[in-house]
Amino acid sequence: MSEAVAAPTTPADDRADFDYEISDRQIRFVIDEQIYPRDALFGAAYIFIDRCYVLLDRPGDQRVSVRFRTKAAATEAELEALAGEFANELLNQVLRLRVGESTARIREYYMARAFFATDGKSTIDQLLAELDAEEMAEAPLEVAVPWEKKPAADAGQAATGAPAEKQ
Amino acid sequence: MANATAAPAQPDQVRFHRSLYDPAAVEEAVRAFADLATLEVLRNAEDTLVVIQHAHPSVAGVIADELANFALSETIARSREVSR
Repeated sequence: MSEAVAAPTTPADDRADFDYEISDRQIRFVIDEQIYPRDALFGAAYIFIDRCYVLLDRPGDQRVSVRFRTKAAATEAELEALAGEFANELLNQVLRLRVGESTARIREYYMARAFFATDGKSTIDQLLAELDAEEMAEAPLEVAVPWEKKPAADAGQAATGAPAEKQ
Repeated sequence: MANATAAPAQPDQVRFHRSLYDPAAVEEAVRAFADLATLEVLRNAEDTLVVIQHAHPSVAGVIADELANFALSETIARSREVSR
């Protein structure tokens, strides 16, 4: 029955396989760095560091061997699931890298615009200028009264009925 | 199932390929674990090799793996700082 559903093996099918070796509590596979850049590999490996002991090696040019050893006992099925999860995470990291690269110029453009593209005063400068103008309008003599003194002076004036001494 | 009771093989040395592990990160890991074992760092053109001896009994089974994880996370952290 399994023969009836088995797909014919072709060289293309062989290339699509995600080969791995399983032994006691550990699984090992080899990644092609031309497909999965090192930054993507690092990003994916970092996610598994809390669950596994991860060791990388370089068996050949542009090839990286990844060995996961689980921190707790694991069945073969769990190890296979781990390998699948890692393969998915690798793809996810590659996608993140590519999106990051393709949108880098847009991000740079927005940052440049936010910092340098205003004509004259920045928004914050405008707000501060408005606040200053309002304060000047409320205090025509522009006499600065320390806020610590103001409540006491008001209280003294209320108790004695005399104007508070000027500081 | 028979393997479940078998003690994990404890490597007495860990090899960190220079193209994957920042040598400074490996040395940082060695400093972090120096109180738990006698660690010797050997360098060649391709690898940074850490030889582990006289590990404290409470960590003897995991120190090589923990050292490798520390070195990897430190390498990743440093590579992200550089790329910023």
